[in-house]
Amino acid sequence: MNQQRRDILQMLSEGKITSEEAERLLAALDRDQPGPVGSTGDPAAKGAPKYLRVVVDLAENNPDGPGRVNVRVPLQLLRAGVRLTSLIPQHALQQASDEMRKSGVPFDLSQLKPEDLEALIEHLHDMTVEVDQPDVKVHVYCE
Amino acid sequence: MIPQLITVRIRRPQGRVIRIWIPVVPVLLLLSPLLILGALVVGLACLMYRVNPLRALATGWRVLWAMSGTRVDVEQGNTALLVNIR
Repeated sequence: MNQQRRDILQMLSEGKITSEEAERLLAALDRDQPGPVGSTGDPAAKGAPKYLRVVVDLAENNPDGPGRVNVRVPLQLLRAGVRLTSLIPQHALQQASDEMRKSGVPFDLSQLKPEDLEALIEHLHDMTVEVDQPDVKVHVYCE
Repeated sequence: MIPQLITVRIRRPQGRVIRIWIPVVPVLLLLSPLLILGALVVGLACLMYRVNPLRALATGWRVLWAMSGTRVDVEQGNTALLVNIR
């Protein structure tokens, strides 16, 4: 673990990564440290991602008080969940689409194929969502 | 591999920590009579809604199988909840 930290700091000093990226990498190392699945640390970081991570940090000035939500969802669970959509009866999809259209969201759910959703999940590792507000920070990424 | 162990840790505002370990396979074996009944009900529902029951069963199994590695950690002030499926 120390070697990984040294590598990150060295990359930072050589200008290969920005201080923000270094901070994110160090935070990821810290998160992985107490985790039970530590054996897959480095390869997972460099290879195909295995998990979708959602981290929400509530600051001290948040109305609900300080807090933290840290959710790790295996991508294979997302894939399995996507297959559930193929079990939804066609008329239920039609009803849902109609209701969405009435609510101003013209989205035809029956056109959403499991293959498309699988492709979407395949490309999730390219996605990072960061929301930074004074009282809350949200970070969604794959690892 | 299906999940083997579900760990639940609850930290109360008073600082008291409750830890629960749920061994999945023994619990499934214990609940197997209920699960069989539940599977029959699900099968009937699938037939009613014209969904292939075998496909539904396979998908349900796949979801269960894929749950391993899920971790939910929520902290709010002095309270906290951790659910870890492995």
